[in-house]
Amino acid sequence: MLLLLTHCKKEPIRGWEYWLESPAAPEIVKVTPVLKNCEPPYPVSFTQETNNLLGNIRYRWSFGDGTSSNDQNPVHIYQTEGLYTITLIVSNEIGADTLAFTVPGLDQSSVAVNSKFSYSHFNNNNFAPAKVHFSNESSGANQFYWHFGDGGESSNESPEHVFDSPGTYTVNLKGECTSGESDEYVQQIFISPAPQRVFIDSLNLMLPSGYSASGIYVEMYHNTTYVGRTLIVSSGSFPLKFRRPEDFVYGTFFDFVQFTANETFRFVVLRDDGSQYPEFLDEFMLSTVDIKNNHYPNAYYSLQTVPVVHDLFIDLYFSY
Amino acid sequence: MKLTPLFLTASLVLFFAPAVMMAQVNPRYWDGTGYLSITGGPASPGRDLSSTTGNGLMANNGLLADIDYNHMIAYGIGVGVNLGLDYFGMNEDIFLERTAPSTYNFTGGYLSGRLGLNLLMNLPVEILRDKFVLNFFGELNGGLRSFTIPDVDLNYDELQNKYTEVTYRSRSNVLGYAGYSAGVQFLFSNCWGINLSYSALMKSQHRIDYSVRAVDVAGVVTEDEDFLSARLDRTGIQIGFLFIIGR
Repeated sequence: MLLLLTHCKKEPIRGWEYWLESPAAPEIVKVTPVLKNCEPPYPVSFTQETNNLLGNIRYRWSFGDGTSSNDQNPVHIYQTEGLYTITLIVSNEIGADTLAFTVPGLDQSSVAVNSKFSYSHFNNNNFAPAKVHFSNESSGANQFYWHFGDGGESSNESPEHVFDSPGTYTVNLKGECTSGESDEYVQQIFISPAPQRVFIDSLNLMLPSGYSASGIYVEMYHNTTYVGRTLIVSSGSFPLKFRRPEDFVYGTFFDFVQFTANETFRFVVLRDDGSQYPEFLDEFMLSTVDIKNNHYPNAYYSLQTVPVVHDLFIDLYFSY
Repeated sequence: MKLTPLFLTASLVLFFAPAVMMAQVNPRYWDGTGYLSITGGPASPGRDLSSTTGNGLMANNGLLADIDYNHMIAYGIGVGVNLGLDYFGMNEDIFLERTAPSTYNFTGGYLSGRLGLNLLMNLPVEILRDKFVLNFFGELNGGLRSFTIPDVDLNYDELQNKYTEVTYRSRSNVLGYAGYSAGVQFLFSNCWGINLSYSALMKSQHRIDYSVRAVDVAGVVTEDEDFLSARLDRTGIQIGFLFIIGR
């Protein structure tokens, strides 16, 4: 009977599957040209966005007036107005992508000044004191005057500014061109009060399947200060779950990590293998903005402060 | 006098002649007794296991080990239990030819543990009564076996492969098996013996599950479940000792 069972026909004979796939060639997503004056000569800044940046990336710009550039994001001056066809070729060892386009307004003897900007919080953190990066999206202007609403000013094209206190700030950008024509743009920015402390309730740790799940614990550092560590939990598989207070040495001290601004929380994953020094497995950094995301990995892959190649999931909670 | 083959043969015949003349088949030699045997030896993977074609598992020659306890009921017929292990290394060169990684690491090989029952028939020949017995035996066995693949870690240059890290890990696989062995045992003083036998696991096709974890250059992790499907037969030689119990 056993012999009959072992001879039951199943799937066709099948060997190893190999995970081999050619990497994708560069792919130009978009090019953003911006006119930097309202009348000739027109400086034009070109900002390209390309995917699949592998190997030695080469950029080749042909500006349509007989000149070219190998810069990544060049600025080119057109002495006269005209209908220029610009070509961008992005290439590497795998392949190339080409995009041809024209610049609206470049064929006109004058263009309107249009001021505009967007902004982003440093580390996506809007807790005061908060650093804000402004991206100038104006066209037709080549001189800029910024008023940040807290008494601060700047004449940089795309400045950064630190708002020390929480509140609502009205930011004004005035763009002006060589003819004296100008335009103003106003936008409000909200800066939040900082939470008083960070509350870490639990920590779920996922490691690559090749790792042994034995002897693993996590140390935590607040900036450069050692805060404490978890116990070693027993589990045959990932994720390893560290629960408060029983899985943390001294129970609850993770409650009282003081929150100020733009700080980092470093989690070091170690394995106690019985030797004198524990084996270092991995570490990852979280900024305060990461802390405010209650669950991971909601925004995990978009944050530069978090290494992307490791599956480190963490559940964190904060309170005011 | 020269040591010619003829002289050697004649000497051996004369030396063993008295013993052979006294030899007697005793089918009840084993009645009510048993033995514990511990054997090991070289093993050869079957066609699918060793094949280096696209569907082959690329196993090298390996080793087998067995521990058996057999209890003889009467007339040389017995039953027993078997605990065994088969190990075959991976033909890394062929695998690397196919996968072409920048760096790699193989850990372990194809490993199969066996737990089964034996049904055996013995033909004992007493050469020197209570001193030396030749026991010819044949054995059928079957049961359950585990089967795992080696751990394979491959790393690629970002221009070489979309996936810069590929790791293969075995899942738990429990399969059925059937096999046989046959050979001769040299028994001394009704106490212990030397085993020399041929062993085979019969052709039977099975599915072997494993997982693949691939990480691309952007750090995006892809987890996939896959399987091998092959006939897992093998042959081998069992050399070892046995200890008679209850006699």
